[in-house]
Amino acid sequence: MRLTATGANARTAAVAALLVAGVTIVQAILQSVADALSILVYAASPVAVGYPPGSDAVGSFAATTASLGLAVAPVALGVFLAFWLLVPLTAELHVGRVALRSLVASAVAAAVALAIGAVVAAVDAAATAGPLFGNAFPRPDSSTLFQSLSMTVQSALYTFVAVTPVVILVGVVVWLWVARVSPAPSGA
Amino acid sequence: MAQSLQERATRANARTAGAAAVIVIAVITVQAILRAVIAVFSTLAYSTTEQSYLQNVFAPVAGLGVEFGTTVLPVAIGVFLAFWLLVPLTADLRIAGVAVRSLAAAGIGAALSLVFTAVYSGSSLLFGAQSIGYAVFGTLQSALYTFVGVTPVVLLAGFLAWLWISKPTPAAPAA
Repeated sequence: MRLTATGANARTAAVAALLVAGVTIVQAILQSVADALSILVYAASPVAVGYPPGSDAVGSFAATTASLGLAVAPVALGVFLAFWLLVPLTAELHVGRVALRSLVASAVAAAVALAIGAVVAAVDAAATAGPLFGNAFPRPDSSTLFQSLSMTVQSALYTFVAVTPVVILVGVVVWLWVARVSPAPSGA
Repeated sequence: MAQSLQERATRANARTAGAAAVIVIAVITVQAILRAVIAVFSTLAYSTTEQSYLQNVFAPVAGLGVEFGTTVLPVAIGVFLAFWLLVPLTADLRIAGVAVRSLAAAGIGAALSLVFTAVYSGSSLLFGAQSIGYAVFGTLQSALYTFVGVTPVVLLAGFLAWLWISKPTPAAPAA
């Protein structure tokens, strides 16, 4: 951590985290609009007889809200922590270094998403009603836990793949901003 | 936009546009391959019990060819043409200008992807695989997904290409 946990680095990291959150939220909203198009896709498909279209639209927006909680917030948190404490963006860095540090920040973000997702999966599995006393008591279900944990790993990997270009883009833009606000002392 | 098309279609602009298009191709190809690998492994994780899953293990890998033809290639061509002929990246641009031009390039790339996907869906329509409405809405949907996914990548490529053609130390801009 050395001297990286400064107020300036925290400000830069917060700006980067907000930008990442902003971009991924806009992406999630646009994606749910595209998801809502599925209603028309299925309605137009030959197999859709008596398909209830409304439920799908509600479902896609509900999924967006869930993804905001389970993907965007942990990713923003991870990006903030990484750019604040581990790999701060400073004016004297070169483009290659900025990209590398952003890659690290993206990996940290995916790891935070994985950790939070795993906790949610464990709580979910523990809350699954077991057969004891007419399903009256929650009972940890190991097979459910394994399945939801592997799905959590999978979704964290997908998150990493999707979010990496966004984090690198934000890293480069924030670095340009930092360099403009406080140029490197020695022109590098 | 004051320049004519001929004035913008310079060799220097083509070189910058080519660099941006290569970055876009590289990033979205790697993304597609990684997604296919994750999909294969997740299918394997479930296939221990269900025999039927095993048949589909390598379906994501087979889908890569279609994805390359309907997404990667058209987006790269669109980005190249946009940065070469319509919204060239020049050293005198500001950050916001680069962002807006890259957004335009992403839109053009997605539009080209729409055309390529429409041709692909249309050809499968000929074989009676799906209905017209299904093909039309499915194509629109996939183009929208492409635009959403590819926009940050094109912005990133735009910034990197712009930094490359700008002065050696972008940390100290002229203005």
